[in-house]
Amino acid sequence: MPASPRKCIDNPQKSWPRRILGLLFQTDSCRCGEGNAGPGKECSCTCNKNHLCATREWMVEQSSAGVPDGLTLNTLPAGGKARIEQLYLPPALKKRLLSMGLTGGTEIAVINKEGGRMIIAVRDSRLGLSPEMAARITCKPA
Amino acid sequence: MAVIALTGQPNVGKSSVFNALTKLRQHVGNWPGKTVEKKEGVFTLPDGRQVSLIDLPGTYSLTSHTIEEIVTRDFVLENKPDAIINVVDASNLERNLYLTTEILELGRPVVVVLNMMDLAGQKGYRIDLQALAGALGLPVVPVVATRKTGLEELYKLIEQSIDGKNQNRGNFHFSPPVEELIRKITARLQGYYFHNYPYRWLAIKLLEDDPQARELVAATVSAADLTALQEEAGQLPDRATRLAEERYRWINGVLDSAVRRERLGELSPSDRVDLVLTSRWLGVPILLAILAGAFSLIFKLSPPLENLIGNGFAWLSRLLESSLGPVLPGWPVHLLTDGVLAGVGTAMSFVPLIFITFTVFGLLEDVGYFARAAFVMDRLLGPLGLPGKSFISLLMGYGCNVPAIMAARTADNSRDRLLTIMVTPLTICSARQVVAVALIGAFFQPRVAPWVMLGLYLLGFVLISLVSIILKTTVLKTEKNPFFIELPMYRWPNWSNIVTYAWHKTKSYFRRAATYIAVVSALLWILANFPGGSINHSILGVLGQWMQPLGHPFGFDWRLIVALMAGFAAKETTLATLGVLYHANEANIGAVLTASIPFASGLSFFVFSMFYIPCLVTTLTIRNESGSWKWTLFSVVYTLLLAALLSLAAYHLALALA
Repeated sequence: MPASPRKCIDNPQKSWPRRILGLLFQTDSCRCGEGNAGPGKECSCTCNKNHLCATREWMVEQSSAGVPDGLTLNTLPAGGKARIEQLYLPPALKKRLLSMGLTGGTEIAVINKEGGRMIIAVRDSRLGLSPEMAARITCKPA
Repeated sequence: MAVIALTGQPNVGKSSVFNALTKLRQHVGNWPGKTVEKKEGVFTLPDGRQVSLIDLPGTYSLTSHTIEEIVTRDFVLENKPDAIINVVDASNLERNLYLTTEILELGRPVVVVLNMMDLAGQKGYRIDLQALAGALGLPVVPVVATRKTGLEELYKLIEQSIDGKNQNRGNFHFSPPVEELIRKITARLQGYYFHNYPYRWLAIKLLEDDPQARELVAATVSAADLTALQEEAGQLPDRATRLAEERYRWINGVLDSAVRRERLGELSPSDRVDLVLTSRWLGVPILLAILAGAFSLIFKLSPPLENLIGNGFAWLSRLLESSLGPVLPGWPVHLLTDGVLAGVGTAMSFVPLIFITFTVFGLLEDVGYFARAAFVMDRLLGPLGLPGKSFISLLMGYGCNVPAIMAARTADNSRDRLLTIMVTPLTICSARQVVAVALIGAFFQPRVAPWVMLGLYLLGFVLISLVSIILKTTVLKTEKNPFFIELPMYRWPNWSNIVTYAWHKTKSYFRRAATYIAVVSALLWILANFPGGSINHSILGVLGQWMQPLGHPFGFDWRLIVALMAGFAAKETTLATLGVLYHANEANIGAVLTASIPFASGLSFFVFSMFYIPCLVTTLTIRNESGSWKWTLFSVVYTLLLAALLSLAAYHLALALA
């Protein structure tokens, strides 16, 4: 396992009914396949006896998004502050976020975080981010 | 006449400034070939000169990744307006000035309008206007558009711009190494002709890796120069990020010298409201409660007005009959009254519903709630391949598909918008709900009727999910982008803007639908009345009988087929047609249908009528909003096939169980 804080994505293998049900029952406290707690705690699920997530399956993000190991926005708690490092996104989306102020070195603050979704304060505005989006933005402590 | 372009990011109160200047004397249309709304208005300056004001679409930047961005920059580059009014939200200056730095590169005189000064004050911002204007190198005028304050100074600046006295191009520049690179690229480009495009602007866009600029340059310059340009641009690693960072660095310098702001991360009252409204547990129930309230208001206010319009058309119909009857033969009069007027009357009866729907939803949008609704719903719609913003359209679809399809304009990109338009007809609109209630009453016991209705809604939801997954993974295949949305600060509604917005939506529906409706209604009437004089012997009746073999697998006789064909004009007419064909009236139609149609056929007809092709007005709205007959046809064909499949299954299942 990587020593640094980990990034998570929804398990694409999971069936649709379980995925939809999982959306309703996910929790913020554990990672599937690793017991109920881990140093990162950024993944959320309750594991069943088969060591599979009984609620919503999450797994360690592989190389798909090309995000290097390190601190990402989704690891920040509510109230946390950080500085943006890099956006690992397709060019069009990246430019859009750059124009909205998420440039390198910008200080952001997490206003609210629930179920992986977060509202951040960036410059003078507020942005709502999905967990997948937050996992693709690397940052460093402010 | 002088032309002024109005620009700004979304939610900066651009419409308020536009309405304040033009005093609502405006025309709304679409940009040629695109479905981006274009507002044009005329106003008179204090010196008597008339000015044409073009409201360009709200956009965060001027890259070429969205239609709005392309429309905005192309308009300025091609039309060279006398000046650009850049509206910025004074309470959100840092991000708003990003667009300003890009507008400056278009080479036209710019006036910065600081709107929402009151909100900035509430947020604790202290703006030194003189210092800000000095640092920007541009004229700055504070305005509270909703209260029409600051307009005199704005008029003065517009006059100066038209007279060529405002030659300000701003103080913005990149760092020396980047400026040097821009200079080199500009020098190389100067050997070629690029029509409306300024060389410096093109050089910057090349550095930003702008796809449109890249294509234009590649098509114009020599191979050797293209290689040299690529090498020069390649000297700057991660160029788009570097340029964005430099823009923000300059903006921060400007703001440090002119504005005192709040500390980052301090919870504003708006943030505290969001802690509740976007909460994981309360977010969805609150959303449902707000929408339930919105719909109950819409359906309480619309029917009396719809009746009024219906009565008005009935009166007009009687008037025409009595005045034309004695001088014309029967059929032209009936064509006019029962065909054209009845059809147009049906379309017009949607007008109050559309106006009230857009007023109520405009209010939710204006206060800033829609962005939160999309944020809350993205969690649930995401797995279906639908963006959170589609939720509003789908929900409106349960009232009426027409405004719902028009509301799909809020989607982030054309594919999401098209996907939303394609699945919206699967929502059971109020007209179909009327038919459903009558058919359920006829074919099901009262104790199971509510469960059948619930099952119908669930089936609709399952179909929307399946169709969107299929479309998203086939013809509308796109890489799923992670979701993000700007959450603007909550604010008090501006009723003038809301009503203007609803009025324009209604007018646009009226103009487009009324023209087609009259022709198609006349055609349907002719088909239903010629040559026999009654529907049984009419072309439609004969067609129905001729198509009877097609209805056989579904258990339909020719009358059910004719009712379905008539339902295309308006879903409610399905019931009226059944009444005519089975000799029933409003009071006994349930009993007559129960006695005349076997259960399996009734169930099959019920399922078919709920999901087959959208009604005429909806179909025409799909055409207008998608801008494509191909997609309109696709929508008609796929819903027809889907309804046939479900109906076939229902019929044979009912037969097997019987």
